[in-house]
Amino acid sequence: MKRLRPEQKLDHVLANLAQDIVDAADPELGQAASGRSLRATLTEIRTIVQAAIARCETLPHALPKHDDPSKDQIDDRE
Amino acid sequence: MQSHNVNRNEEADEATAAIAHAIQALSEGDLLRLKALARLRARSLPGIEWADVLNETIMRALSGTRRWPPGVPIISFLAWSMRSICDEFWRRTRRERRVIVGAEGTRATWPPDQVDEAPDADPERTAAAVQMLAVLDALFAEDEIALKIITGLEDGLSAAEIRVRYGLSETEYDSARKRMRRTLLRHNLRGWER
Repeated sequence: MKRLRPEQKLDHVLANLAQDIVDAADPELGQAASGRSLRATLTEIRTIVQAAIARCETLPHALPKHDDPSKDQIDDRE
Repeated sequence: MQSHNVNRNEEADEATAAIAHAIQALSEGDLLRLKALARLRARSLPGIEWADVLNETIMRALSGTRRWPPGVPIISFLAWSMRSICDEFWRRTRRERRVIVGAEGTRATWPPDQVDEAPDADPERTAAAVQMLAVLDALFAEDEIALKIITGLEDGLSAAEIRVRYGLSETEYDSARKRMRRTLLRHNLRGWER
């Protein structure tokens, strides 16, 4: 078996665990977040999301509209 | 030609609007998923907070840098973007470090503009990965099967291959994955001290 570097190993693990998070059921998520106020957590996330959206709306010229997609394809192959 | 460009711009605008709409309509469950994903990814990036990862993910999605493939759930698309953002973080860090080394008069072994293709490993990224793998081992230290699964995942094995390698039944494997998911969600949603 090909010897993998730690960063390659971590990439495999994180990709898999991330998929686990994507596939997690809503009740599991709610239960996991319940140690802290769920409302506060959701408000915190919404604030970040809305701020990012607002920034995109006010600064469209600052965003790379036509980035080189080949870089992403390289990422995907990695 | 001009009308072709106008059409492409209109298509891009429509795609961006669709992504913005989908992000604004995310369910509470998906918002929690986003935080857990951003926190998991940020944990392996020195000096980066989960909010930075999430912010960058949304901004990139809306910038049209990446196409949202038809039929792919928005949360999967954003999770995939986060992975690319992490790769980009390390590419940028490496590029900047090479430029600094070059500017300090030390002979750079690889031109800064070609550094992404350099064959040697990035020691800082390697060190961060070793540290993160140790964090994951510590997280599942009490669960022998979970540790075996992590080792199998590190080697890029599928679920079936991991079961064969460690002689796990389907039930043992699935139960361990459930425990791992709960642990992971708890740490990424309640707090995972950096």
